[in-house]
Amino acid sequence: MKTSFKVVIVGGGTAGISVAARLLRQSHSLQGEIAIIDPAEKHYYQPLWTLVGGGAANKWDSEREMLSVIPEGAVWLKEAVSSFDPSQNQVMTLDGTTYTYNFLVVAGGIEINWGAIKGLKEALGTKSVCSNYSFKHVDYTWETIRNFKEGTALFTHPNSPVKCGGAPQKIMHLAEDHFNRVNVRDNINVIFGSANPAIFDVLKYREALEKVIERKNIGARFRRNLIEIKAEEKIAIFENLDTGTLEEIKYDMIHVTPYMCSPEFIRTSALADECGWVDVDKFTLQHKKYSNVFGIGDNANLPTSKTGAAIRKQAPVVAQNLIALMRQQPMKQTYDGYSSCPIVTGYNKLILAEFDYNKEPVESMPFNQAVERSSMYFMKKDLLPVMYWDGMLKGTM
Amino acid sequence: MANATVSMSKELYQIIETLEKPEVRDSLQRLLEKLPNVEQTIESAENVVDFGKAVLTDDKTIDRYEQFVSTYNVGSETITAIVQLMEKLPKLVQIIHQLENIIDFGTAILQDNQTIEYTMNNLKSYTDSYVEKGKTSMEFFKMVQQRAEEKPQHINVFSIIKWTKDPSVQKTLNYVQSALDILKEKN
Repeated sequence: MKTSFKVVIVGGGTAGISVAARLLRQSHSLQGEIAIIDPAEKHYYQPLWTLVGGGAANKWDSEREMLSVIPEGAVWLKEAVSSFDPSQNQVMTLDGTTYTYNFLVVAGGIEINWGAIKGLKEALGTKSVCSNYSFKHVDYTWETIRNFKEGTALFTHPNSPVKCGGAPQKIMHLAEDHFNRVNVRDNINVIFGSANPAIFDVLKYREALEKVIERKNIGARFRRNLIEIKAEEKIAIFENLDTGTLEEIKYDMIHVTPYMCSPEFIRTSALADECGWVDVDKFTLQHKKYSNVFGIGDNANLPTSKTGAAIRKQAPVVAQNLIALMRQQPMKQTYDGYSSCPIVTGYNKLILAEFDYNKEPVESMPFNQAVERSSMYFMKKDLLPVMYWDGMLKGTM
Repeated sequence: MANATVSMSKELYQIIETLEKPEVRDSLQRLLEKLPNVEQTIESAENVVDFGKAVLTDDKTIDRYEQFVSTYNVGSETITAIVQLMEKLPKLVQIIHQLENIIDFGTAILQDNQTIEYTMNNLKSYTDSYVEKGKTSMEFFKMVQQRAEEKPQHINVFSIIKWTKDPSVQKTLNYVQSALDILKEKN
């Protein structure tokens, strides 16, 4: 069995597959020399889960066999990484194999910590406790929303980085729109409990979303961090991050965004910074200490939103800089912190937020993207999945 | 004469001194070892030069190639174009790269049955409501046609007066009346 590769990519998610595809397109000599280590049998297009939870998409459209997305010429090692030894250019797996590399790309994603909110793990998928962040339970979100007729609908955002920071409020907007459509909105109190200080980081979109919240009469409570759910009594306990006091909210349905952190095998490794994320240069995406290592995607310590759109811009930078390094040429590609969040504000409306490291809008469309538009909703629902499966994962977009 | 001898001895002494340096001695030795190769290279170069000279003096060959080249539209414009093309090559490569990506993206979609199915289902969800409306209208017209053919009736002025009492006819006439009123106001 081959245990030495020119490039080892840890993680077969959006970032890992995109980089592998791009490397293979750029240099055919890498055929059979790129290993992707990932134990998962399935690959998911997670942005679709918002629409699944809102009853506007089928969850099975978001799932594909991992083998079907592995680029031709890459070697898939169906194993889980346990540790790294970057000084020896080695990656160790749980089954005891050691792989060596010339170049390493760490694309291990982000880990969901279902146990961090007391009572969540046990209650999830039952008693009107739902979350779009679980493929297994995403259908239950729609079931809960569909059957909800009156009471308090509570939506939360935790005090940790999350993948797709807009998702916690997207499902709230879809639910609110659904309540309107079936004429039960007047019986329902919609509350958004968020650990963030505002509805959105970027001023332009924040102002637009504040108007949406006001128009929809949603009770937004910021700096509130969910720490416990008492599912039997339907009580959510929040910590006020400014005062430290505990506040209870009685709910009738709750959509929870769980805590997330860097995967354990990364945060305990020599590649991690003090917060556990892969410590990379924010422009070149090269590791700050180990020059033959790159970090990309959710597991990197980049000061920007963790989204698939961000990876779309990071992947060409990593691929081209790695090839340059391989050819002993200077690395010329830089990443400007671009990230995007298509914020669904209803079943036919969407604000397309695009921004960079400076939290300044970087808009692709020739119109004001802070306006809710049905064309952008159409793009998210119908075009982006196609671009993902057949463009991004093939290394062409 | 004596001065000239002294000067020559000095030059000779300098040469000997240089030759005595170990690095010079090493270089000379390596050069001597490489002499056969150098000789071969010079011979090859000589052959090329001889061949060039021969071609230049061979009028027949030159005429033949002149005739051959003259059948093509190659001129100073072509040479200018080649230089311009070379100048634009970096940009052209970028464009070709983008085009290649677009073609590969299109090919990937066409080969991806799951994507095609997903897109078709989405399109169907948009067109379903229109298709349904079309079906209902078609059904209505078919029924009307069937009824008219099965039960031919004699229509007179009284039948038409009777029609006007029908709510759907009243509704349509109401629209006509409103339109006439607005037109009258505008005039």
